[in-house]
Amino acid sequence: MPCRLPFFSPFHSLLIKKYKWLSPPPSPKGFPLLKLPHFPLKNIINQLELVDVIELTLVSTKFKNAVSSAKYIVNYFEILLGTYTNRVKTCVFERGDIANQYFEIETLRCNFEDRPVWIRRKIDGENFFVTKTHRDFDPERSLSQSKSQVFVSENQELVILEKIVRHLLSILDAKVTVRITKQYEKPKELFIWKYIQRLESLTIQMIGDFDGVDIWELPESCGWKDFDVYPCHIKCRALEFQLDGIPYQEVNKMFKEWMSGKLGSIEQICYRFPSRPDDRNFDPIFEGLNAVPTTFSRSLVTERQVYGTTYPAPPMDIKRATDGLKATIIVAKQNVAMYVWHQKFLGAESDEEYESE
Amino acid sequence: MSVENAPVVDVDEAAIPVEKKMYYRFESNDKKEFRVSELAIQQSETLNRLVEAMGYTSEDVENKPAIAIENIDGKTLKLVFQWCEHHKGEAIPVDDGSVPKIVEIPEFDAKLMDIDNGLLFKLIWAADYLNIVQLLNVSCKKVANMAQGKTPAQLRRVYLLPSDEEDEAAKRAAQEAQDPRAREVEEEFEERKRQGGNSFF
Repeated sequence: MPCRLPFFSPFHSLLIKKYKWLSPPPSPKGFPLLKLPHFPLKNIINQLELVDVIELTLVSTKFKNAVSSAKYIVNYFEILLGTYTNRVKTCVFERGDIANQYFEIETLRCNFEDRPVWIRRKIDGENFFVTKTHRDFDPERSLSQSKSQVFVSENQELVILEKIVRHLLSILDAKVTVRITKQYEKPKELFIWKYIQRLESLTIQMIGDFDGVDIWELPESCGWKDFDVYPCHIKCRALEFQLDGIPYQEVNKMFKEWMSGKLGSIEQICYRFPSRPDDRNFDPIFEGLNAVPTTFSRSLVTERQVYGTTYPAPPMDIKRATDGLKATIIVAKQNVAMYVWHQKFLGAESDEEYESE
Repeated sequence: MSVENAPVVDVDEAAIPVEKKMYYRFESNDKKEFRVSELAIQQSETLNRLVEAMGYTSEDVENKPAIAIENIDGKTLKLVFQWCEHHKGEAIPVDDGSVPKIVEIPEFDAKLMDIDNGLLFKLIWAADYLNIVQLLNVSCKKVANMAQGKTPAQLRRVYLLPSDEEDEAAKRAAQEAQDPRAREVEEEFEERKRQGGNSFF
């Protein structure tokens, strides 16, 4: 055993150094994930839980940059702009070892600048990643719970939501579904149109906000006013309008847009509750479309999730000259829909005769 | 290093068919040499294409110098070739770009990858460089499994992810370690920029 040297011994520091040389500090036990090449990094990141990935991107810019490059794949990404809530909902369906994950981020009255979102992590079979969700919660109590929360005005909510969406879409590989359930003064100025290239589905739904109210008793003001306020050149696959009282002439106008070669990616357009149920004159829908009775089989049409078996008017086909694509227009009791027959929807029985009622 | 002294990857002799098989010679960046069977090489798309392009005969393999793999050290290459020899002849999964992959780690692979994180990192790097799809899948799976049951704070430690604060502190420390004169110039420049000056001079 070496003899103990006095503290001020000139050899003391030398001994310490020697000790350090003899047993070098152990290398860090962690794994240097961010130094991996692109493909292994993408492989590993996509096996992490979504909630962890998002949380880590909020605290580490380097990790965020890595995920932005690798992209985390999610199955569903919805932005809801509503009267009562502005939120982002995202899901990962079961894949590999990753179980179904679902969570929502609501923007209400939390400060994205100070701390991006107020995270509540709950592991109870499912993972949730949420902010405080209701407008009626007690701000004082919540402030005492989390000093990082700063409450913002309702107008500020969209700004916060935009930041969250920008952050999430920079790291996620997702097709975007947008639901608008509120009348905005200037809908064309909504931030969602910045993500038009990633838009898969757009639903404009003014009726859904009024749960329990007979839709026919709604005041006129909550329904359709001016169709042109929404961008119609969008590249999404599905368009749905749940507005009270859209005139059939406007529905016809949209179908004519498609006939002229616009809406190239669209697979279906649906108008729910377009007109009053007692309005039985469907001619304005088909005006100038050169519609003919459909030649597609009933089974093929019903595969496209067309509800109901009896239609007040027979299903009609239209064909556009620009690329020869066909579409079937179906007028049901409470909706008018157009289904475009892209090649992927056409099975072997593509041109069977439709069995009319 | 001579061929006689080269560390040869253990090969199950019973598994070798009677007909003569070709063994290629590879050299790591620390001059360790390996002899690997033709069938095992097929697990690596990069090496397979390389030997195909070179068109070596059995004589060439013995007479010409070993094929140098400059980016990979001997320790890592030994693991890679052990894996290739064990999985030779197995179907190579088609990389369809889908993630995450559904992967199960076989017992042999689990034992092979029972190594420290530094070597595991090199193994993944080598599997990616040599394009050995299945080895890449299992090694990535091993790293992904490290995250199981961890909180985000623990994950940051496991994967060495610096928080922005830590990054900032490291940057500041690096600045302080700079040459004092250079730091003074930098501070002066920053000061003038704050004062609204357009030019430093």
